[in-house]
Amino acid sequence: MLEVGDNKQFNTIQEAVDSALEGDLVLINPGVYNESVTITTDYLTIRGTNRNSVIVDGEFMRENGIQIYDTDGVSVENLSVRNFSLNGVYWNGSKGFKGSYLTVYNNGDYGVYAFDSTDGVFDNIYASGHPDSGIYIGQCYPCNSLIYDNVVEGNALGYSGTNAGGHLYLYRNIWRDNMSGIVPNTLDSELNPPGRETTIISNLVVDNNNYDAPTNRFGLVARGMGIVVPGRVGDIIEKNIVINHDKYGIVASPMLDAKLYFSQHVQVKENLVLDSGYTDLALAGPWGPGNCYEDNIYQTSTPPLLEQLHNCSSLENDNLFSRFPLQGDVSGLMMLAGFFADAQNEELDKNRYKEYPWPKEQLNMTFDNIKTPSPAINLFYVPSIDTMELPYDLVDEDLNNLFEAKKEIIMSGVPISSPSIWQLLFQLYGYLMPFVLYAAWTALALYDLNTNNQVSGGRRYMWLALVFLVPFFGVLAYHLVGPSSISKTMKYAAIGGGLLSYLIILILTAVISGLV
Amino acid sequence: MKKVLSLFIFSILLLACGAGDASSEEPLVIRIVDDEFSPKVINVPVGSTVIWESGGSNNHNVIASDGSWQAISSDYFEYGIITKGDQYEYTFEEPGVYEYYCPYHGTNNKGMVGTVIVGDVEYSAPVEKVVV
Repeated sequence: MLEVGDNKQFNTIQEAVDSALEGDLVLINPGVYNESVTITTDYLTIRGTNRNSVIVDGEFMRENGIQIYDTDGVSVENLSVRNFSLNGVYWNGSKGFKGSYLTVYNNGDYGVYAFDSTDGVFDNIYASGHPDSGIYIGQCYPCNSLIYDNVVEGNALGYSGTNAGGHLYLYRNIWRDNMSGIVPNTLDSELNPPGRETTIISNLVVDNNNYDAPTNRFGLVARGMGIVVPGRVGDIIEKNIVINHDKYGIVASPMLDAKLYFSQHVQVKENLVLDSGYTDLALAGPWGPGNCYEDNIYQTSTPPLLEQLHNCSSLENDNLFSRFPLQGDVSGLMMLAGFFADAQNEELDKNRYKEYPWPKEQLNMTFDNIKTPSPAINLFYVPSIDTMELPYDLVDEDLNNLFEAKKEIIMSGVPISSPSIWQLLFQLYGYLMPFVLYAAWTALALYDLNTNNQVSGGRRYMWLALVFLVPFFGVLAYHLVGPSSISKTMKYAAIGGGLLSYLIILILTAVISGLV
Repeated sequence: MKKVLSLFIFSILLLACGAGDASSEEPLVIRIVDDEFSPKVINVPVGSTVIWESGGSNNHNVIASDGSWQAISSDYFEYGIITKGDQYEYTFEEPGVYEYYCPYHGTNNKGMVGTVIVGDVEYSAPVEKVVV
């Protein structure tokens, strides 16, 4: 054992780490350690004697608090990490990692962050005041990792996990008062997309409408949402309590980065989702095959009849409809564009994380023998999710007190009472304008069919049926290859000109809003 | 995350045209992603110019492991910052093995590191650990 502190073997944690051999314990006594610690020795245990008074402090001039690179089996336990410009505790390229009973707060990026690392555990962590997520696991498959018994509040995102999944379980955590709750995602800014196969079960997700939390732009996009699964494959969201979110309770959506990703095979089952400002459950199109919603307790959904048309039982019964490769319309995509455009045009206070209120004291870890190392070896197991229930025991107040979301009336994805200009442009213009053009082309075709002497009798009704029954393509066929007597100039103006105008305005909107 | 929807409209147009994949890379471009260089190791002829292009949401930098060059420096901080969309290029005039790293997500030999092998020189990649 190597001991750190006043009148101990080592004055700094880094000195002790540099002297440690594989498997050693570095025991840290109370004090504020103004340093950044780099670990490259396998199977170390870094342990504080008191979670609240052993503090690693970056003073906003160091990047990472405790950073572990290409090193296996390192545990960090029972201490606090604050005021770093990037991450609190950061594993990169580790097989075996453990963060237990950590208080991480007011760091400039993530609280605890495991990248390209597998076979790990985050438990009993308190994370607050981060402009990205309190807890993050990125770029691993299979991750073989567990996230449980954590409390995460006051961050832009409670949980974020980019391109991560495969035996990755989030259970019995409290995600509250963040800007948004649980946001696993798929992005091209990391390798190995898409994100997939993450099980989110028996969590309390409540009040994630904290617009005063530190944030980056991604946090702004997802604000007011409980659980968001954008561009994910095979996630399971089950038996969570998701209450009081200004926008959506649980939403599966496409994800646009350099490429476009669709959510598919996402299962949303047996959750309690109530008091959402837009809708409790949402499936934003276009979506891939196999998404299903079943046995949730909820009041509103988008699209309507979500559980009836996309229930999990029908999937198991080989419902042909559920196997279509792309379903839904682009309203979800336009909704996302509106949210992103709004986020692009907001001022970010990049120093807000420095001033976020500090947390109160947290529960210490208990040890049979505080001098026994506990490296992160063989930590993963498959939790017994069948025995998990809705986590009413995590709610520390009357459930009824939580129902207070600002209710919003939504039409075509646009909040009627307070739409932003970008939401209006993308969701009304971007989404609805093609239908307006379609209606205009149809009116033109009907007028022509009525007055065109070259079409008569049965042929007239055949073309009429084609125009009515084959959306978009029927009317285009009539004008472009059919007997339309309307002048070419008029046709090109109405069809080509209309489409071109639509695209130009849409592109201009994207450019002006800062999306492109 | 900055500008995740950049190329949004163009993606739609490309998809509509059936040309969805616009991600082809030049051979001497190294992508900077979160938190990795891709590819990690490249072999180039003497005199080649290598371009590092950031597509990551996080801030990064590219610094020679021996400290002899870096993508961007700062007047105020120890290191500068490359953000999404930034490019940096460096021409390798002498044969050799050039190792580099991101100071925010690695040390000079671990974590977010990369190697440029210039010319016909001997190089053996680090042996991956085998856990039994």
